[in-house]
Amino acid sequence: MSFFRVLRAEFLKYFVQQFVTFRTAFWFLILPFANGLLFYSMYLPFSNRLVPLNALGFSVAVDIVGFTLIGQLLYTFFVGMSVAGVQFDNERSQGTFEAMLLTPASRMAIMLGVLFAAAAQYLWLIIGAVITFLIFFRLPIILNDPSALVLSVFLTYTALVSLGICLEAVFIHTRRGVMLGTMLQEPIAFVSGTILPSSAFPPFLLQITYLIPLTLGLISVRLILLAGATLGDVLLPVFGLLAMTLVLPLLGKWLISHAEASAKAQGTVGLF
Amino acid sequence: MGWERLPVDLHTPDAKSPYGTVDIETRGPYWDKPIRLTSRPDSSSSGTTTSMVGSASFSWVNNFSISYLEKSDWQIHISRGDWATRSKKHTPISPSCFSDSLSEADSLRGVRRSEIRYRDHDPGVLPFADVKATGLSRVYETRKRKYGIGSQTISRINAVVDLELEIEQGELFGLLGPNGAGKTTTVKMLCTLLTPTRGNASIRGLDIVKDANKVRKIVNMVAGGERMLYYRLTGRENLRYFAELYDVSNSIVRKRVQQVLDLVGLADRADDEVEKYSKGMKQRLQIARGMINDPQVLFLDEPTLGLDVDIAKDLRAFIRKQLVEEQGKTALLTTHYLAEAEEMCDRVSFIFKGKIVSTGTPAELSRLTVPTITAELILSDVKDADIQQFASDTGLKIKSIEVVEDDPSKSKKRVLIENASEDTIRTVFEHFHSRGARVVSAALKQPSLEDAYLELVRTQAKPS
Repeated sequence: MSFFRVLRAEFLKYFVQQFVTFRTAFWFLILPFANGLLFYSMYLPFSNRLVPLNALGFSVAVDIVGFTLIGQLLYTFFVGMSVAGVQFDNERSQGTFEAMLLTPASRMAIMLGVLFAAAAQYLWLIIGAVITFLIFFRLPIILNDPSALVLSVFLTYTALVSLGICLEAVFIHTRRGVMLGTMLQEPIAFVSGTILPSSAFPPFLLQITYLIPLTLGLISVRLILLAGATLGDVLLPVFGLLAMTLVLPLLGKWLISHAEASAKAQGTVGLF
Repeated sequence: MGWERLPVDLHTPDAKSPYGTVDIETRGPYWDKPIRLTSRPDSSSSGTTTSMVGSASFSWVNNFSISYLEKSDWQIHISRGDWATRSKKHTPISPSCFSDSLSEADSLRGVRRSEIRYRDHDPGVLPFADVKATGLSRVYETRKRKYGIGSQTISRINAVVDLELEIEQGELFGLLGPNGAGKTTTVKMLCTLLTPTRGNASIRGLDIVKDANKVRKIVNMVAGGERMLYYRLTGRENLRYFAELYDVSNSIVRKRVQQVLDLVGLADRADDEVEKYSKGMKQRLQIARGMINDPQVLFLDEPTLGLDVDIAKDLRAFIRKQLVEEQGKTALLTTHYLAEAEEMCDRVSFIFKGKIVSTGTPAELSRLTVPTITAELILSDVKDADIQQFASDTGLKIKSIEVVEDDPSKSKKRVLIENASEDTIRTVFEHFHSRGARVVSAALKQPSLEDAYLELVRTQAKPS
């Protein structure tokens, strides 16, 4: 019970801090549509052009705007997780980290609370951007299996949250969370196939990219939405995402307890 | 000691057979009901000692006896076990002793209501250690490489060295020392924010490393400065958030939050964002945060740091009266302000370069380190040579003679005489008055904690 209380408390704290005024809340509500317009102006020159999508036996040419949009949206979500990952650094810089660690609250619950809150925030950004795109572009969506889409998006979400837990655990120990979080964003955007088709990468790099939940999520969602793939077609990345969802939180839990113990032993918890 | 008083009813049926019943009524988290102990003759001892027949439900009572000291005096001994025995931790018991002497005449009346107090002069015997540290040490290691490469140099700083500490329940204990002495490191270790390099410490019998999560439930820390609060949240939201993290029962969260807000006098500003609070209000909110889990042990790390004099004074009174005396909290206070420690603390330790160099009540420390009373005199129109001559004639020890800086004529001298008394002042006055000099002011200066502290710092800072 206390686990969920802590999770809820963190979730609420995140939102109250983010939207402390009506003005902030208002801008947050309209931001996704502004983002959508920005994407529209960016992708307009490429409209009706095709890009190869070669994965899991599929070899199709899909609309570049749809291709990039899906990449962009899932990447936005990844950035959300990365930002949430530096939560403890933020706590440290505002002087509340020690007060938090003084409590017997579950560290996992604290992290998940922040990650869920960040996920909810970025989910709105994504939904808003999708709505904008649907209005301005006539995307050639071929959706044959909505349940596969829901499952893929859900697992991508959970795997990325799990990745966020691991990142938090690493960041608490390095005390360079903001820097590392920012440093990670561009390389991951590149290698996960957010903008470029991953088939363009050399084979050795391709294998590594499969370790990133974002890559598997992109393959799965793109095939389902743009190539009409069903759950049977995308079982491999779906299982990959499921495995990451199961393994990464455990890894994160171990990392965070190890990081806290180690930081306390080295005296680096309160130093910033 | 001021930490608790135990009203006692003593029934002694026979003056020469000192056994009977003692009813103890106390307040506190572990014994909120009256306790009745009955003594009976102990066959293994000499007739004047009795052994305890106590109620099993009060397992903290480890031993009980009534001793026949002299014809007219009885002495009651109640030894208490460490509270951890309650939780079957089997930690070693350090016996604690309460005593009181009752007159035979009173005892013979059948019922004698008295108070048992912890004996100040009972060395090394503490009634109930809430915080206990044994050989607690902390070493910080800094690793550096030149230009980020090359061989690694490790510098070690001994922040705390073999610290021994016992703080009783309901005691306000001060830890004093200069910057970098190890005060904050000690506090952080005790409230589980830092792992000791070696040594042990326990809070209410719970090991700070092995039982860290249990310790966190019963302690809290308030630090000076403007930290440990979320500025974008309101005071109430902050407290509610921390109440959730401490898993304060849902049914009482609202009430508890209101209680602590009332306690620190912030109820009327509870729904304002913390960033709109003044410094004093933030500090009071910090105290409220520190009270939100109703901690049994509270660590106060320079709580009045940077506060205005009047706010700091209010806060000190609040900590002493409300938290310690009324609510019976145990508190460890670290501070730079010696007057603060003198005013607030039951006992004080001086810590220097990570080592505790002296422990005692403020009065004891003041007397121990600077045992003399000093006379401070401001004399006008007198020469140094005359003062020295007077000193040598009367055998008085002059500590210093200096010109009073803020006197424009520079004709006034401040003279400090050691081992002084009222007679000294009278002698000085008569001597110089008869020689045309003027005694502008005279005062006897009692040794203060500050004197003791400065003396200790001076002594410790000397190279050995």
